[in-house]
Amino acid sequence: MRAVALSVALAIVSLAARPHGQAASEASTVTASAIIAGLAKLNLSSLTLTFPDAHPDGVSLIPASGGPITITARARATPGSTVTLTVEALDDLRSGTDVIPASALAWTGAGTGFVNGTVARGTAQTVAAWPGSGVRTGTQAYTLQNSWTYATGTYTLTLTYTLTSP
Amino acid sequence: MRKSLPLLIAVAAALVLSGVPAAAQSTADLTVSAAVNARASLTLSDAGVAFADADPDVTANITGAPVLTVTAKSRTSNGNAVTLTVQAATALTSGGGDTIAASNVTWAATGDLSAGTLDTAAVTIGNWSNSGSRSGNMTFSLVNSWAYATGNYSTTVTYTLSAP
Repeated sequence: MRAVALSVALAIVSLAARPHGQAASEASTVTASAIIAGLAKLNLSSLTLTFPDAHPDGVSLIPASGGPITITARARATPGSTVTLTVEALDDLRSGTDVIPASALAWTGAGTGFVNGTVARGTAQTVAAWPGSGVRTGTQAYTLQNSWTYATGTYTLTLTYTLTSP
Repeated sequence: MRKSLPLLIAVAAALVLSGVPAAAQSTADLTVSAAVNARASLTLSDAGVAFADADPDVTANITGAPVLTVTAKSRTSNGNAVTLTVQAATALTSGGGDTIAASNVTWAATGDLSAGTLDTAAVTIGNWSNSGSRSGNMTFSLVNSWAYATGNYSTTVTYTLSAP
């Protein structure tokens, strides 16, 4: 018995008996197939966003320290579908029992597919959307609405970004 | 007779690049923090209020001009009291040394302010809780009297906004 060696490469080995004195050939085919599945990878240039204290009469919209956040979204998607990036706040900004509404946070988007928006508690807001697969980069410049009505304290909130590739 | 030889077929290249489902997601959390510090801002619409001379038989109480608009803005911890006071440095005093007691000056107030009588001790014209912006108008009056010596009288009235 002849041992058969298998390989993962796209190789075909075919042996045919050749009658004495005659040329012969034989061909076979192999089907190569590859499965490309959906994939999404999201990168933020910073995982923290800080707003310093500011005089409400002088600064009505406080810009975040450190400037805009750079976002890179890598996605493989079904042809004709839309890749979306959203951001959601599950709560308001809190300092103990004191609250600043999440809607006091807004951003200006820059880059292809990026849009402006306002954070909403409990509702995912669109940050960007693109057609099909690709690597996209843009920025978000956040501001916090200032007010004399805020109680003193240090307020925190977690924003969750979700990149979806259908 | 032609021998049939076993046909060696390589394993089809089922090259799987990814095992994830067709739809994919990636998430990231961003932590937001904001500092809100105590602040106080006091604005008076004018730097002075004047009482014109008047016949005491005709005008028992002289109305001062202009009407003063007071705006008090403050940020404090929830539950804290914010107070606004006024205090005369001295009685109204003329260049000749004659005096008119500060208590002869009163005011009517609107908005968030309280009416009162001037004194050389602090008098509260606003008492509020928590952060916010408050305002109102003060219309001053001076009791007129034949007993006053002639002269130009003045005093400095200090407004103090406290937001702990």
